[in-house]
Amino acid sequence: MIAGHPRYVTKRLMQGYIGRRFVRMLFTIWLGASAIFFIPRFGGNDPADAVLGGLLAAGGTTEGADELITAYSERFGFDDPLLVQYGKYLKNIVLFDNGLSISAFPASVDEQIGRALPWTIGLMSVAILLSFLIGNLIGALLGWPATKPLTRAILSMPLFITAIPAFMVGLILLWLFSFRLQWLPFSGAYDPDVAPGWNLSFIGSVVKHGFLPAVSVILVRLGGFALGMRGMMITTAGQDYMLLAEAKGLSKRRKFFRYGVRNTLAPQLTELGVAIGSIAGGFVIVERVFNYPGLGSLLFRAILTDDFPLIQGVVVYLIIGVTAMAFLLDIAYPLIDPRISYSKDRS
Amino acid sequence: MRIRKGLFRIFVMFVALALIAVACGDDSSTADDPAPDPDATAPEPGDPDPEPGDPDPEPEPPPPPDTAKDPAEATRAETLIVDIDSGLGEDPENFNPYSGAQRDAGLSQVLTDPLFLLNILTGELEPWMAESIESNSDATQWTLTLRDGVQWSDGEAVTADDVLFTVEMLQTVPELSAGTKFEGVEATAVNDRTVRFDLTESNQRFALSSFSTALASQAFFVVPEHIWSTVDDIATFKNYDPEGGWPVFSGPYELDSVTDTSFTYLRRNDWWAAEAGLVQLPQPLKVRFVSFGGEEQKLAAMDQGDLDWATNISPGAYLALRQGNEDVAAWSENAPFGQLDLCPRSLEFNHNNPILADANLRWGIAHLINREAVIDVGYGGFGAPPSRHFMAAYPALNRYVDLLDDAGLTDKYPFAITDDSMAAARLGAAGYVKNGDNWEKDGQRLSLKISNYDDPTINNLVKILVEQLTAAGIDASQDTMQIPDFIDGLLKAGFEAYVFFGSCAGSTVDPWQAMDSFSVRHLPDNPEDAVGGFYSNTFRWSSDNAVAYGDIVSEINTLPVADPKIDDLFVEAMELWLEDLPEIPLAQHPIIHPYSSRYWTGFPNENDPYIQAIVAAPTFAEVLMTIRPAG
Repeated sequence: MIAGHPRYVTKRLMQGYIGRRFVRMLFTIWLGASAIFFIPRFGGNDPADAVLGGLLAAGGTTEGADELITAYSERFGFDDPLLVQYGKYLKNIVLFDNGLSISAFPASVDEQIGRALPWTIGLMSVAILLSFLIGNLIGALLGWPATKPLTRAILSMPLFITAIPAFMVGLILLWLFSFRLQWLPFSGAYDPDVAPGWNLSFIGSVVKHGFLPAVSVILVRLGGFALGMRGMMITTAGQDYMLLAEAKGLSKRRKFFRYGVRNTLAPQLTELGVAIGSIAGGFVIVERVFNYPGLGSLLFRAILTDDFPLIQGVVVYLIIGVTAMAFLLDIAYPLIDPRISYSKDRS
Repeated sequence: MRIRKGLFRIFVMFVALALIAVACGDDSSTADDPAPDPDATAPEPGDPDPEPGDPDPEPEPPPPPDTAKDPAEATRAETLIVDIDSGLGEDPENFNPYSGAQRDAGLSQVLTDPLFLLNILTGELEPWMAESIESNSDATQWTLTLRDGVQWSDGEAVTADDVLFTVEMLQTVPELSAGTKFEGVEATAVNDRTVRFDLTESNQRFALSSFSTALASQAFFVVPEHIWSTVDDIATFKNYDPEGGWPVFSGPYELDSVTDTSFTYLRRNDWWAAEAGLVQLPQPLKVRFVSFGGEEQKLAAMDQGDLDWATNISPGAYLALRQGNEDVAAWSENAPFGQLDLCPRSLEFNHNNPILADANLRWGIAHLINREAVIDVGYGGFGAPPSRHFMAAYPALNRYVDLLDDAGLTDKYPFAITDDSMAAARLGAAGYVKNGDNWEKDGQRLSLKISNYDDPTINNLVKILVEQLTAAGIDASQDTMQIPDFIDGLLKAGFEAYVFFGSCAGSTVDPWQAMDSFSVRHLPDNPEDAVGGFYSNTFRWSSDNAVAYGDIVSEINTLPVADPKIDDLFVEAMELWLEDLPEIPLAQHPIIHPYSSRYWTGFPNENDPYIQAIVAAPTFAEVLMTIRPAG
């Protein structure tokens, strides 16, 4: 390809753009990972104490607790100088090896995350995608001038729920559908009587157990999408191309979806991207309320037990998820919206 | 119009999806097992209510267990479902009892056999896998004999080598967590069934402290030497390989499956104890331990017939459940409903702190506290008994406390009395004066930060303590912390004062273990160093009285359990303790473990107290042998 050729220039610009964004992503990961390494250590507690936590909660004891803590400190390297620990920690992140969990010793952090992650991804990705679709649809209709006042009033109702914390919505759903009506299970990810596998009864059990947690998230999340979409739609409805569509005599449906929704969707995708990136964190309290064995429950337990390696592991994956999603959006954005350029200076 | 039609279509699809999801789920837990008629177990009208304490009429012997049926095919009515006290576990695929396994999810209760079962109500160390344990005259040598015919689940015999291997493993692997590490003990396998323990010092309580099952965490689990000796790193060994038939233990059940929230076990019809004719096979074909989540979920599960035995329910919640469900009951008909825990709650002080090391100050604080009000708030008005002593109020231990009454020590040292003038006298003796509403010394207001780990009852106890002390003129405050932070402060003397159960060391019939938790023998050379355990004088009580007290406690340990000479020594030691009052006993702690007789009957209660009603401990095995199907 010849230098100066438009495709060559675009390619170079894109490479520079991606490179800058990639470096920025790595920097953000390093910054976040460093913060999560140092912050728990400012507490001044001995992280090896976590190994005794379960025993105390059970009213139990162990002989030689001091020796046990010393042995754990050595095994986990907590007796190394802080900078040495930090260096090992960064190296392990690069190698995607988060070492052993303290509270779940001898399980590894990656093993713990690996067990919890599919539940959270399954639950949260469905919940977030549904809240994106429903929220944007509601928002678009609310911002669409032709929507009838009654429809508008009905569609506004779910938005009130957005102001309620997700765990509170979860508790209400739990009380109504599990305790009172006894329609849906109140705990766990599937029925223990069902053998895990690709069969209808397992899938049905998973859907049944995930239904209430998912609805809690959907009800709380859709408001954000809806309000954003509503604002964008109001702006879009006054654009010249909408007048043109009107003048062309296009159908209402075509005007709504092809001219209205399509042109307002790009900013919403950013929010969706960030939401998907943060899936790894789960909805800690929602998972807790439903005793759902996802990453949220895992993170909650890790914090309660001062399990530094596990906290670090979960949060680092969360940071990587969010920054990677932001990076992908940065790349995709100029492709979605031509007003955004890869070059620093369009002139 | 089209948009509205589209919307309607989406709505209908959404609802349909939800209904399909509800319909698709496996519902075997309720569909194929109709619950027995609740009326079948209800008392006949006109039957007099049994008085608490009245023994139940002799129960019918349980029917012979059905060994023809495959336990894997057990229906709900043949399955016992039990709550996991510790909740959602860390790693459900870990069955190493000394390294991270969730012991209260069936491992302690159905998968393993203890050598002995300690009945805290009778104080007897009941033989189980072991036949006997005897000491020589000065208790420096103990001989343990295993029963004949004990077998692991893989068919290998349980031998003295297994016991020896387990003891040596605990002695040599520091990462392992156990109630005893057999310090100062040399074990030898004399023959296949006999192990000899040679102690460097006389210890009359070696059997009781090494093989007690009073606390789940203290239990000693023998592990199969033929498997564990092949493991490179025992600290990281998970003992889990379902394909290979692991975990291998000797208990009446074997592991069927685990999920993140449940553990399912199937009855072993070839269990050694049944084959040897010692006991009948337990009636439940299947036992499932489930983590349901919070208290609300546990209550709903029990109410809906999905849970047979729950753990740690608050009195108010228990009453609400019982009101709507006549199958539900607990240890006692009336408040406090639960059995008293081994661990009474106390206000404890850090004696490393020179201000708090003053006995007059502690006595002054004791007289400012209205314990009845503290207990009333802490336990929601459900009548937890106030503590007369730092020990659990069990009959055999109460006998010792009565000795203090007889000796006049209760009157001489009335720590339970709330009296402003007595408080003023004690605080005055400690150098404090009342300036306005505040107690001060050298112009400094007396302050007290009370720490506790986050627990609903303890939080309430501390809250009301702080209120009372603040109203009395002390700058009191509460510091509620997460368990690991609390442990750090507890072991390293990091608090001023704290509400805890620092004397909960396993005493049930013999006061020595609880007394020993105040012994100076536990104190490290450097006062800032950590102590060796939760019940190892975390108070750092080290005054002259403490030293003299420790000597008496050591002397008691040279006497056999229940030796009459202990009585006088106990009174002598307690006078030293009471004079110093190293902690202020507050309340006995009832633990409510409700059970449902919808599917199973015969759970222990105050009318039929054959064993303690503690779900998490190995004594669960005795409950398993006793319960029978309802109806």
